Amino acid sequence: MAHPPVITGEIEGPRPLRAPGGRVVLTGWCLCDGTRPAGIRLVTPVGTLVAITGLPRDDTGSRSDSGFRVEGMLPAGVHLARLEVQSPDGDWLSFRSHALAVEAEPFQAKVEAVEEGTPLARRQHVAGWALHPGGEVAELSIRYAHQEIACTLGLPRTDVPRRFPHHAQAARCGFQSQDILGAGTGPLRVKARLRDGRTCVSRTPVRIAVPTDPNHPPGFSFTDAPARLPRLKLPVSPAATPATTPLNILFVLPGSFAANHALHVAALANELCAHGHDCAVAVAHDPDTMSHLDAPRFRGLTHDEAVRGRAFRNGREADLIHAWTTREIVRRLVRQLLDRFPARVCVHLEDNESLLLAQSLHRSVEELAALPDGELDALVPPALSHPRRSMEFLRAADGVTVIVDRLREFVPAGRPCHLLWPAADARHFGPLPLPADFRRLLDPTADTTVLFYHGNIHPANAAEMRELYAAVLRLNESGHPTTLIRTGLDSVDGLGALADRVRPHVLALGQVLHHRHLPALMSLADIFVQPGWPDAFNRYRFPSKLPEFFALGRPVVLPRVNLGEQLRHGLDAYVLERADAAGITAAVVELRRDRALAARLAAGALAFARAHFSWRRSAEELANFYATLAASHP
Amino acid sequence: MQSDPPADPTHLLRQQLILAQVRLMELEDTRDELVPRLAESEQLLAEAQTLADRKADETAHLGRVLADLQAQASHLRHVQHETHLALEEARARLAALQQELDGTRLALETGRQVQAAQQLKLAQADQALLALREELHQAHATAAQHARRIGELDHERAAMKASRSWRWTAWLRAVERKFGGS
Repeated sequence: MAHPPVITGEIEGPRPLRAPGGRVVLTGWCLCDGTRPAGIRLVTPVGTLVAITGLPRDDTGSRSDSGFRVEGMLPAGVHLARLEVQSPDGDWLSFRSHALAVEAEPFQAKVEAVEEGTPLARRQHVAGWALHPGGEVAELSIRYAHQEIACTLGLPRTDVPRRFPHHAQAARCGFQSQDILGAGTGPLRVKARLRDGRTCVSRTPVRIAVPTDPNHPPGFSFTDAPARLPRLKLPVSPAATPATTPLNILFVLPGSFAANHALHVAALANELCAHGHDCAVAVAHDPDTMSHLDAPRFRGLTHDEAVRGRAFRNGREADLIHAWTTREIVRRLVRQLLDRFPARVCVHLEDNESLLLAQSLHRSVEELAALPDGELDALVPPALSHPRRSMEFLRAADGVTVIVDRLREFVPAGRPCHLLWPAADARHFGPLPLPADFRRLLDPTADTTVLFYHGNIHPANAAEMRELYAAVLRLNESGHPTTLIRTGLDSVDGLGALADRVRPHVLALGQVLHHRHLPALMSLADIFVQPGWPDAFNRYRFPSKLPEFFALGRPVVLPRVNLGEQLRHGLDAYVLERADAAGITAAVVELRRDRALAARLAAGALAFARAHFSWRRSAEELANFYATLAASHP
Repeated sequence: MQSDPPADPTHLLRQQLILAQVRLMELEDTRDELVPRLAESEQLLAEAQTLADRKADETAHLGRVLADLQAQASHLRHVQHETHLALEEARARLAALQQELDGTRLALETGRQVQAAQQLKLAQADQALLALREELHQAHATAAQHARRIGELDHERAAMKASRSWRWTAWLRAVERKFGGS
C-alpha cells in the first residue's frame, strides 16, 4: 500500500481568517512530499478559489517556490474553508480547515473626472457611478463638509457591468449631482438609501475645497476646529461598603421616568444597587422613558407589573416599599401590594401636597378641607394627594422621608422621619469651564450675561418664572445685555404681554431628552437663578435643579427659602429675601460689576456642593434609615 | 414659548447652534454605545471562529483517528477470517472427538450398568454370605451345644459305664445283644 504524501506548510496572516468587503486574500507556503504541489485551492460551501502557486519564498530552505496566494470574492457569511493540495497523482488532499468570516461586499461608488490627490475647488457637477452589490440604490447624495447635494440616478454605464456582470442595476448605476458644488472643504462621501431601507456610505479619495459661493462670503473658514461645549463623563467608583443585609426595595412613582423626582429615585436606586440591594422602580406610565436615564442598575416596571410581582432577582417580593409622595396613584398601588405581601413602607414627601391640590382644583386648602368625604373623593385626581387619605397613609407608614425639614410638619407624631436631600449626578454634573469659543459665537461683543434655567413652567411656579423673565427684560432694557437659555416645557402661558418683549433675549431650547446633556449647556451660563420667595409652595420644596446649579461652579442667585435658608449670603450663594424681578436684576448687575464677588460665589457654590450634595452619601444614609425601620418592625 | 421660533435669524442661529451641540452629544453617546458593542460583536465573531477552527481541527483529528480505526478494523476483519477458518477446523475436530467421546460415554455407561448389576449381585451375595455366616454361626453354636451335650452324655455314659450297676448289668446287655433286638 502506497504511503500518503506528507504535506507541510502554513497559511499566514492573522487568525481567525477574515475577508473584509467580501475579498478573500490568503497567503502562505506549502510542500507536498518536499516538492511544490501540483495545485492548491480554497474550498468553501459557497465557492472555490484557486491559488496561484510557485511564488518565491526565502524562508523554506531548498524549495524557494513554495509560496501561494489565494485571492477572490466570496458571498458574505461565516464559511468552513478547506485548503486543499493536489498530490502528484492528481488527488486533492485537505491541508488546513478554518472558519472564514466573509463580510458583505460594500456599497461602492466612484467619482469621475477628478484627479486623485488634487482637491476639487471649482463649482461644478459631480458624476460617477454607485452600486451596492447586495441591494438596489433608491436615492443618492454626495456629502462633504456641511453640504449634501442630491444626485440623479440611473444614468447608463458600459464599464460597470463588466465588473458586476450579474447585478441588474450595473448598466444604469451612473449618477450626477443635481446642483453644482457649494462652498465647503472636506472629503467627499457618497450616501445611498437602498430600496430595502438600508443606508450606506462610501468614502471616496476625492477632497472638495470650494472656497466660496453666493451663500458663503470669501474668507469664510471651513477648516477651523469647531467650537464645542465641554462635557463631563466620569465613571462611578464602586460602592465601598456592601450592605450587610441586602433588601429588595421597590420605589413607587406617580409619573414616568421623565419626571424630575424620577432622577432622584434613579440616582438613589443606582447607589443602593451598588451597595448590594436589589431595587425596582415602578412608574405609572411611559416605562419607555427609562431610556432617558444613563445606565440604570435597577429594574424599571409599570404599576401593573409591580402588582404581578417577580420584580426582584431572588424571586421574592419587596422587603421595603418606598412610596414617592402620597399621591393617590401611589397610595392605591401600595395598598394593593400590601394586600399581596407584607413589607415595610416608607413614604417620601417633597411638596406641599395640599397646596398643589388646591392650585390644581382652583380652590383654597381650607375649602377643600371642609368638603365631605364623598365629594372630596370625587374631586381628587389620581395624580394628586387626597388630603385625608394621604394622612392615613402617612400614619400607617413605617417611616417617612422628607426633602426639606419643613415637611416634617406633615409627618404624624411618632413616625420615624429622615431628611433626604437631593444631589446632582456626579458622572455628568461637575465644575465646567466657561466655553469661551462657543460664547464668542453666541455673543461676539462678550458683554452679554448668560443665565440658564432648566425646568418646566407649571401652575405652581408660573408666577416666579414670570419674575425671572421680567428680570431678563429689565436687565436688557437697563443696558445690561442678558440672555436666558431655557430648557423644559411650558404647561401654562404665564408670561402674557411680557412674552413678545422678552423673546429676543431668551433662547428656548425645548425639552432636552437626556438629563446628562444639560451640564454642557449649563456651562454657557455666567449665573444661575432660581426665582421665587418664601411662600406656601416654596417652603415645602427643594428645587431639583439647585444641586446641579451648585455642582457647575457658578454664582447661584436664589431666595431665602428651602435650601436658601441654609446658605450664607455672599459666601455660598447670592441669597435674596425675594428672588423677584427687582431682586434678580439687582443681583445680576452686582455680580457682573463685582467680579471678585462672582468668583467667590462660584467657588462657594462648588464648595457647598462638595460638602452637601452627594447621591452616594444620601443613599448610604437612606440605607441606614431603612435598617432602623427593619429593626423597629415587629 | 419654546414652540415659537425666534424671529431674528441670528437669534435662530444661536438657538440652532446650541441645539446642534445637543445633537452632537446625542451622536457621541450613540457612538460611545456602539463602539463597545461593535468591539463585543467583533470579539464574539473572533471567538466563534476560533471555536470553529478548533472544532475543524478536532474534526480533522477525528477523521485521522477514524481512518486509523478503519485500517485497524480491516486488519481485524482479516484476522477474524483466519480465526474463523481455524475455528471451523477445530470445530470439526471437536465434533469428531465429541462423537468418539459419545461412544466412550456409551461404553462407559454400559460398563456402569454392568458394574451396577454386578454390584447388586455382589450385594445380594454379601447378603447371602451374611445369612450363611449367620447360619454358620448358629450351626457352630448348635454344634457347640451338641458337642457340649455329647460331652455331657459321654461323661454320663462314662459315669454310667463306670458305675457298678452298669457293670453288674453287663451280662444282661450281653444277653440282650445276643438274643434281643435285631
